[in-house]
Amino acid sequence: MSSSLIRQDLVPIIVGYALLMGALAIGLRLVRRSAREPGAAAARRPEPARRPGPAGPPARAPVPGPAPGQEASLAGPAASPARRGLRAVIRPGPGWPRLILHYLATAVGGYLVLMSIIILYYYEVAPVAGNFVESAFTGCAMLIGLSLPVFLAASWLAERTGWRF
Amino acid sequence: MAQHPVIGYIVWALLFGALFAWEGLALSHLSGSVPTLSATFRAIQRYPFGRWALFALWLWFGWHLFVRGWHFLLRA
Repeated sequence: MSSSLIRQDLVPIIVGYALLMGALAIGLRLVRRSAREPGAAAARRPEPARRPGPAGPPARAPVPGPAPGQEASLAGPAASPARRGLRAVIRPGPGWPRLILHYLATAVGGYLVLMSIIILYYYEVAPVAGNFVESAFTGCAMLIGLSLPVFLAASWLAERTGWRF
Repeated sequence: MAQHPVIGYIVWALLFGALFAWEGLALSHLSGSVPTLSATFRAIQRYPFGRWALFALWLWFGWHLFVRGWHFLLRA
């Protein structure tokens, strides 16, 4: 097997597969971790139906929720500091860290979705001539890299000046 | 430039025409049950995979506009 064949055909498949599987593994791990947390199962359990009394249905008691910025305490007092720290990293409070994390999650997810579609299209539907796959990987990464500072600058301007785009 | 059958262009014109006609119907509020394109995008963006799909669509569009189709500056 020639080196050019490895570079042109196998490397994009392996890299795309590793990226896709890595993202799926991280997502699955986060979902399983949040499901194992104490209180998560109770929060998802539906409230049992109450029979209305003679005076009509009882008024629904307000459910106290966590105050903004206190999501880290959802892990409970028994949670280890490491887990609380990880949760604070995964779900930071409102502000720039959350915005950047949200942007990065969307950008990486969208990039992986597009790359997987392009690889499937190239190898299963139509092998487009030229450096199609390579251009997709590098070109889309370059677009994300170019748009990130513009997006952050626009967000900073909107917050600073109150402009609405 | 390659020559293509006219029917291919007509199908594209019909597809885009239908898209704009559907959006116009939604904006005119003649039918209250037709969501606009922006309302549809907002609904899609509630979910992570929807955001990823929209971002992938945006990337694909930008890639074709600025990388594959642009022969001056950002040509790879």
